[in-house]
Amino acid sequence: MNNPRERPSIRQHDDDDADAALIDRCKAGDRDAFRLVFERYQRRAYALAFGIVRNRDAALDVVQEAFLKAFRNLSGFAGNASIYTWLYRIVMNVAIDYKRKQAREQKVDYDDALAHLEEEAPAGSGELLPQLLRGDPAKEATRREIREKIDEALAKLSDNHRAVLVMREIDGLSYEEMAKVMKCSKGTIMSRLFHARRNMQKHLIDMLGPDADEVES
Amino acid sequence: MKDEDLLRYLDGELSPREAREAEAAIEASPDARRKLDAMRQLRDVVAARIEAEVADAEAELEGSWRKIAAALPEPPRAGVWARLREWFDAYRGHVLTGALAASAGVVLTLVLHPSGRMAGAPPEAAEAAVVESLEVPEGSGTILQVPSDDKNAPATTVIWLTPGEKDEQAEKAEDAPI
Repeated sequence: MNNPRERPSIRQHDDDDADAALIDRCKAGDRDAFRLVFERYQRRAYALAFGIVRNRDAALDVVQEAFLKAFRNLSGFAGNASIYTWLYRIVMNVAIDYKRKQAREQKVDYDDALAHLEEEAPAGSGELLPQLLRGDPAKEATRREIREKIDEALAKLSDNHRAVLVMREIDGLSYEEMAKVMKCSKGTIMSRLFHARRNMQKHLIDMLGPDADEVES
Repeated sequence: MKDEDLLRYLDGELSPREAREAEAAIEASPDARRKLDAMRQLRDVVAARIEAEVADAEAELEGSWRKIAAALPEPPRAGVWARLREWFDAYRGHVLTGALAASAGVVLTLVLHPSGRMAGAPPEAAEAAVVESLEVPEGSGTILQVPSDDKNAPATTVIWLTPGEKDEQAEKAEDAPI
């Protein structure tokens, strides 16, 4: 049986010793060291930011603001945590703030409790995705039409659900690491991940199922 | 097999013993295999979509550093000694070369102008005419006529006094208590 914890391609390497040395240099005001931190974690930070805000320009803004905040708050980095969980938390907070601000500007209530309503959605657990994705789902996902459907399905998830999906499916973070980032229990992470996957699967089946032939042609 | 265990198996969150038990249960359950396949499909789809987005945004992401760097606060100015050290580190080669050149100059001067001549010879002696030599208390004197650059101007008279060497007895006599 395959190793269940495969993946992740954008999670390049974790070298905590090298990170600690870089952070010490950053704390001394070394911009070159901070640039190395940026280069090492920019893709992962962007993936999470995009997963939450779902817009490229907004995600780029979130990444920039998050790294600036990280630089200003380097003294608050305890060193006993991994730098990426610390950075992820900052990216997550900035992205959530961005969404709240956006909701205020659009006079729409931002209520993360909406996420819990999603959890009541009927389960699609165990249903495989439509035939057109069965051959090579990863390859199919790069087709423009399919991408749009996936984006629509992702958009229907709550921010928290998208965040756990990105952290787990892209970055391979453990439940414990995700719990640190989201400041919640491992049980909550498991619950969010379970419902995120089920809801995402259901939305994709709803969207791709009836139109499968149309999209495929 | 419970969905929770299947989820933890997929995410690599089971202990090695639990994982072995889960594998056996999955092998024995078509329903569990189907659920596991569905979750893997979903993972591949989501990952491929986000990774494609990261790849598309790569160039803009690289450009983000310039904006971040421009907004970073200036590093604190170092103290005087730190700045001097920094300057010395930067120009260490020049400073050492300069010091060596100066030392070589001093050595050359000492070799070419022995101390006696330097201390004792009257200035411009080669150009000045000695008018008279005198014996003065505790030394000797020389009266020189130094011609002016201007032919119409009068020459300058210089009286050059050179202290004589005291003999040991005289020094002892001076140092003796009264």
